[in-house]
Amino acid sequence: MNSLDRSMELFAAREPEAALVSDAQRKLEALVGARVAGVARRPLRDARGWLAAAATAVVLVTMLWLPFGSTPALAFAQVQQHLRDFRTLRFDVEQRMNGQRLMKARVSMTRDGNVRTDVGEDLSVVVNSSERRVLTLMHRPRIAMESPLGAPATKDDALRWLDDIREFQGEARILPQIRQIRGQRAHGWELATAGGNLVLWATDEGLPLEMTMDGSAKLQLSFQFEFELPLDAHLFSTAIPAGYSRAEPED
Amino acid sequence: MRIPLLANAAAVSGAVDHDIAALARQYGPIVFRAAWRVLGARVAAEDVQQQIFLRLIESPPRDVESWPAWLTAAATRLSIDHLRRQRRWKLLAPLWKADEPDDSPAEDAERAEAGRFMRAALARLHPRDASCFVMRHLHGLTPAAIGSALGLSENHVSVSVHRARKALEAMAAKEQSR
Repeated sequence: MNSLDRSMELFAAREPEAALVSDAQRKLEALVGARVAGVARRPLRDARGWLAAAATAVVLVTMLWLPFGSTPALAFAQVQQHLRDFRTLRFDVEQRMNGQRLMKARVSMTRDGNVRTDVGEDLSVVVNSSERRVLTLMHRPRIAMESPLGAPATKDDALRWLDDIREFQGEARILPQIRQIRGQRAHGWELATAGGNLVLWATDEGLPLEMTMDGSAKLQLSFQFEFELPLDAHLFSTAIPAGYSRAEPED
Repeated sequence: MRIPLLANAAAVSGAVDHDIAALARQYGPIVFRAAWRVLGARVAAEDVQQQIFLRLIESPPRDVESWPAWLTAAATRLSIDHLRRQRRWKLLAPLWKADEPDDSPAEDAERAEAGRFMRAALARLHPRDASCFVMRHLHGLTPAAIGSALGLSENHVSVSVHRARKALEAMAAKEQSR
């Protein structure tokens, strides 16, 4: 047996444990059920386009789980309103596994669909919706990659949580405690999700300040939001910066 | 063969066109397993599985002859894409910690090394060749079923599998000589 056959034999012999399969299946069925119900409830929006574009930008943020339910909570509608109507939104997102930080990213976005994601000091991804272009910058090797918007070069749907909160029609349970976040009084809203809990902290006026998502016992995401900051247009420029060499996506 | 092809695929295909949820219930595990075999990582395999069914909701395909084969092909293609992205971003390796294979420390070192080699090597192949090879040798589909799922002739599939094998053998030989 040559070494490839041996590698293939070992590679092919592995199968996922039954618990992994059933856990994945549970999440899938919840997600598909919620999405199918959503599609049936409303026609797919043309406006989904820019959010899909936004999703393209966030390469490594993570997989998230859909909230679902049936009855809107009135006050939570204010939170949703802010997430629908912003002109600019910037948020920092941190991903932790077993308490250890894996990734920190800053996402800056505008209402018209421009999104910039800076992942630590290593990577930036700029989606410019008017130019229909995506620029990926790898800072340490100083490499730039350009691709048309919509190319499957990045992880899909990483910003779906935003769309899901905007359209959430389930019961958002208000938490009894009040917190002070960046000098502002904040109420907590808990949304039951298929894969875990989502807790969103917002001001009296419903302006979102923080959010945590527990995807599993091990994985947690935390978000810090800032709305209506003046975001410089150069953030969303897809021009290759000086000192960066151009690479093809398949390099 | 691991994937049971439907005896009356056309009838089932028509029945499930408008019920993606039923399709997910029935074939979700097949898709997860197909992705996991390639990726060896739970999170990534779940991601592939969910992407496939969400895309089906947005734009269901027409004239699917065999859902298991079609879904296996889709899972394979997305998994290969995933491996290629990982390779592309290898300079950012620390960021992919959450997406590492599920190999446990207790797992046989030779098996873990085989997985590492195969994933890296598949990422370097032409995506179509890699898909054909994986579907043939990892998922156990026949060339006819692969061709039907990918829209290729049986001969084309055989050529792709052969080309992939030659390239993998060369990579394995190079790896062994290190």
